[in-house]
Amino acid sequence: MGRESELGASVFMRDDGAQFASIESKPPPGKEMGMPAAEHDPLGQIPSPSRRLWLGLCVTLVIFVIFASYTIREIRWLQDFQVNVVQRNRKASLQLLGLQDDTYQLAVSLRDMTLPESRYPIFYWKGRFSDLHHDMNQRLALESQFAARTPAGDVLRRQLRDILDNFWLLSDQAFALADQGHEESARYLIRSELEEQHQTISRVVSQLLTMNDQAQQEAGERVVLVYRRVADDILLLVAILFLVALGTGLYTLQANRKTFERLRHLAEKLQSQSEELRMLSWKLIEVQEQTLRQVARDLHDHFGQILTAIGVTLGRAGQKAGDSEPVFVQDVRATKKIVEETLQSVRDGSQIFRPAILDDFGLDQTLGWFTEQFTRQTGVQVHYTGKLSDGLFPPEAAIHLYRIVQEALSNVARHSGAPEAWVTLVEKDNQLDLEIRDNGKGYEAGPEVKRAAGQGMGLMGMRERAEHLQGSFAVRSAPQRGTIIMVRVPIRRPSLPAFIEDADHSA
Amino acid sequence: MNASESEKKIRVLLAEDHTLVRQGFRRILEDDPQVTVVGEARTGLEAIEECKNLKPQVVVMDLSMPELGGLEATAEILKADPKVKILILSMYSNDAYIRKAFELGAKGYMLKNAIEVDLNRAVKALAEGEAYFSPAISHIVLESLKTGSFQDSTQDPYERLTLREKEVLQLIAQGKSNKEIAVLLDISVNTVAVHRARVMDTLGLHRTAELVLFAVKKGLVQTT
Repeated sequence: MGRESELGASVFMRDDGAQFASIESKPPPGKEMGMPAAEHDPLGQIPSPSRRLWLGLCVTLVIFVIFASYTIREIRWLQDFQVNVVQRNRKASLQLLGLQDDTYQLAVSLRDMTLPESRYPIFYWKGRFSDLHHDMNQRLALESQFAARTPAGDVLRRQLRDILDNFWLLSDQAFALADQGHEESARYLIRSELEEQHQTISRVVSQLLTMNDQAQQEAGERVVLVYRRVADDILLLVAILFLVALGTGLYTLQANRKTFERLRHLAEKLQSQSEELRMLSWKLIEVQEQTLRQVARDLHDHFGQILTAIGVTLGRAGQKAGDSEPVFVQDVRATKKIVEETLQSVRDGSQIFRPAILDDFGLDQTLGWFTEQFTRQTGVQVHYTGKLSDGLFPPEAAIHLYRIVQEALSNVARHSGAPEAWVTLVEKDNQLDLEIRDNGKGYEAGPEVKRAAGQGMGLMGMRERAEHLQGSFAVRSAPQRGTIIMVRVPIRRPSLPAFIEDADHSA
Repeated sequence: MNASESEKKIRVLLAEDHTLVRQGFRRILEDDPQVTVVGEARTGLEAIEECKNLKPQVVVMDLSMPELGGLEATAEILKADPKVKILILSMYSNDAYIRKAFELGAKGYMLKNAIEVDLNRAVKALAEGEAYFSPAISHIVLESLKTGSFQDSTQDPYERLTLREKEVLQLIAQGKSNKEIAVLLDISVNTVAVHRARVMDTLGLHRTAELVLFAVKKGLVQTT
């Protein structure tokens, strides 16, 4: 005879006809998921700021890379510029100084050649001129190679080269005249032509030097300009990076603020929903208890008494009939037996729905009775140790502890395979410790396993009841190590009133 | 039926809240010429009242009745007249009930099934001054005698109180009036008065202040 009642109370009868019932509290759906059933993924409502933050980071990095490479290029160019232009200018300037020196030596030679008191013949300077000719040509070539090429500089250089060519031509003529013995004609040529040419050379070389100086100065200015530009660029880069970082940071702050606001909102919503669920689930337990109590009372007071009356009447009828009508008496006895068995079932059922002993004697006696019954009916040897002055725990609170024991032992019988179980009830320091322990196979911690074993709901109901009594609830289990359920609830003694009306005469 | 015949008959008061059951018991009892049902009661309070009026020899008392249960009524009746024999009829075979019934002075305890066979025999046994209990619970009675648990709990007068009486005691200690207690426990003020009287009697106390002091010592209420 197995049947499921709508209350979630299942009663099953063992082969020996004994009944054992387990009460399973059924929390509302969705509760165990820790999520409200009505919402579809509440986190989906919050847009993730990560994508924009990534974008911000990428933009920052790109800007940084572009500016960094640009600046590095500028600095490299500056280096090249300094190495090539300034160095070359310096080299060109060296050649020009060399040319100036050569020009000066030419001037000295020309002066000595034309001195009237000169004791040396003109051909004496021929070798010297040849050396200077060679040297100046070389310097001129080097200078034009190193110098910064400007149109004005090129004109001057061409002019210098033309004048020098002319100068060497004339000096060659002068040396030829001297070789032919026309010493005076040569001197005249030198004095009238070469000295004039020499002055032009000297002027052009000076001009080139001035130009070179100017070029150097310009290069310096350009370097300064480039440095300034690089500094400006770096400043700009820093400014842009700062702005981008500021933007990203502000966006992050804003996004965070929004996200946290949404999360807070969501948490509040979840909390209120979970409170509602908790209240609902507690309401269900309460209604269940009320209904069970009513059913137990109806079973006992109504059907029980009617069956008793029927039994009593049948018994009397059987006795009255005596031996005169043996068939009738037999039938009456058989019917009475049925009535008695039914009465037994009704009584047991009513005891299981709501044991009268709990209301009449309190929790300690009830657990003593229940564990004994349980041992008889299931074969699990339950040892009960109780130490609680009855009356300390009112039946309306005690029923929840009784249900916890009922459920826990039901789990022991159904799932643990334990041969023995221990139920202890200890009152100490204004609190009550209830422990249900078995030596069965236990289970791996984790909600899935518990649910798979069909214990999750039961445990939740137990926890709900313990928490309603302002108590704590804990389960410990490990494979092959058995299971312990521990409940600790405060014993709240009512406090003494400030003033007690002597009610001796008020009744 | 003349006066001398009726005087020989065992005078029985039948206390049972359920009418059909009461009628059934009454018929069975009256089937026996040696037994006469002098009165009926539907609650424990009525039983106490009727006992005072009718002076029965034996009270057949249902354990669970509204208002005042059979156990409390038993104690109260015996206080007034210790000679009355009380036979408890019960649906419960829990040893707690049986022990309490004998503790409070009942002389018989019968389970409500299979009553017709023994009811009259039990009534007669009690009238003769013997005890009676259903065969089905004999092992419990023997066990209790062996372990001495009948005496154990009677050492402490507090433990002689029924749970309901303890509740009433706690409520009195909280300063609740009889009326308030009646509302809280959903019983009549008269029943509360009986409980209060029983509590004081059992504990040997005479004033509410003493009750409160007792409750404080017992830790039933806390002083703040």
